Amino acid sequence: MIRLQDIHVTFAPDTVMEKKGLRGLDLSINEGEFVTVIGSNGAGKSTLLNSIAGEVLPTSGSIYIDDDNMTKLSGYARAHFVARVFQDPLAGSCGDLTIAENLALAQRRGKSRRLSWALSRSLKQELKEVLKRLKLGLEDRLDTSMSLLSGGQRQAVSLLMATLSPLKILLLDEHTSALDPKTAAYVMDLTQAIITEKKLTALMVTHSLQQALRYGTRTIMLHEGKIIYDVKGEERSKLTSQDLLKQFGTSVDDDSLLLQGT
Amino acid sequence: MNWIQFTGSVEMGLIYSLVAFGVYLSFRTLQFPDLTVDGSFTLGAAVFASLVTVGVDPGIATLAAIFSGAFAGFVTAWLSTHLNMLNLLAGILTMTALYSLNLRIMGRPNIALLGEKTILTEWFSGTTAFVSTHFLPLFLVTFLFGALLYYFLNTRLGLAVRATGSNPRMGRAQGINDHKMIWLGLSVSNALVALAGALFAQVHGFADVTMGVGTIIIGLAAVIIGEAILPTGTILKALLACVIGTIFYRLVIAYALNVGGFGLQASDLNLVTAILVACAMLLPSLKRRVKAFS
Repeated sequence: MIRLQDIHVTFAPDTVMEKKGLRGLDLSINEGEFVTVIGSNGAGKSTLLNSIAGEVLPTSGSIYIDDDNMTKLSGYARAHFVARVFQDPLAGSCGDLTIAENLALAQRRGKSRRLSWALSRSLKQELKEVLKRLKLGLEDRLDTSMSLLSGGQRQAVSLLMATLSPLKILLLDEHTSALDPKTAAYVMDLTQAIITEKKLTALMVTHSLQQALRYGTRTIMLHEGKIIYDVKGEERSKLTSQDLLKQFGTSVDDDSLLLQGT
Repeated sequence: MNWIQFTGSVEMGLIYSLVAFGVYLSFRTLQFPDLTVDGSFTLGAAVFASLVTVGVDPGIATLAAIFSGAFAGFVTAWLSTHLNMLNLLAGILTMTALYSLNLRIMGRPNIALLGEKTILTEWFSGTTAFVSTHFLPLFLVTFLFGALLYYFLNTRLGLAVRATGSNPRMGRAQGINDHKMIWLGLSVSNALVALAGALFAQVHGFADVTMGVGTIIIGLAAVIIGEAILPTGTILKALLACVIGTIFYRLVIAYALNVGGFGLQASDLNLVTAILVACAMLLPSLKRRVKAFS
């Protein structure tokens, strides 16, 4: 279980550039929940993800994963629990390394890295099996440089990489938004399949209201650094994106979300 | 070019291959343009020369040179990661400090090693000269350290260093402490360069406080020329390209400066180097254009 208590994040405090990312956000995510996050630009979606990942340290408040206090741990020290897929397909993997090397890196996420050979024959065989589920033929291109893959292929591999070793929470940061519609659908279905199959806990930021309702088990809406709407279960299953828009309209008077459409 | 000039260039190429390995590690793998190299090359020679002249075993003196280089690299890395200093500036600072430090270590600007024990006289005196006097020992040292570097870059730790250079954000997300990887990478890089300095002192019989000037350019030239003339898809090929690039560079320099007709003299070395690097950088785009025409 992930618990965020009264999280405040202020960027550049006490300057003219001061910007509040989160203002007293409380959130508990139970094991196995797949939460989708929506909100207008600047609502704090990315800050929320970065706070959990440790890339942004909260100004105040505390973050727990199970019973471990993670508040002060920096990103790499939390990697054992937190896996991520970034919005930019190039951000989640190393272009200069081969597919196999990228997967080998991810396979030891948060574990010690010493002087043993990274790519043993048995590991390569194992990675080959893992890649087969993508049905992209990448299992025969283990030694291909990652930079030669298309954005969609890289994002699919990034997703595999993120879920290769055990995790407490999977963070998805609009990970399909940079892809064309067909590839986006493929990656999204793959995401859902892996999350269901491995019973993962996940948090997905999305700009699409439809996507927010179609996938996952719970939806939260952020505005000005706080959660203004939180829905799950039966109530959520009856919701349409129109309802969500209305909900948004009653809580918020700016129309930035409207402009982004559904 | 006569035989002595040729083998001399190859020997120099083998020594400077270690510099090229170091520069490949910092410049290409970590994408950290590290100028410490100019200082750590001299540091290696200075530490070796001053230890050996007080009677320390040359093997231990060489080892000490390696560790001194590693420390210099660590200082640059630390300045960059902890004081948030621009990587170029961090290297320049360490390099500048090392100039004074090297003078302190040696006690004077120049130490002659004629008649002193070196690893060449101690370990290889029994071997008959193959190709040239120092070819075999230098080849063995370069091969050994090239192989060690190859192994290192393919370990889990080495992979983490490469990931840090390629995509530090992704590295952190995988639990890699990128600061530590920069410390490690630059330490190993400068250790190799200091070893080259120590070897240079042993082969040429002196250590001089100005001997490191331009080392970074020679290293860069070797890496870039190697990449231009050979494929560098894998680590193995890239390291091989470092060696070939260095030897090629040395041969071109020797040819340009020694073989008459050009009217060049030794002081034109840096100009020739600069032109050579520029040409090597031009080569890939030229290749593309030629391909586009045919």
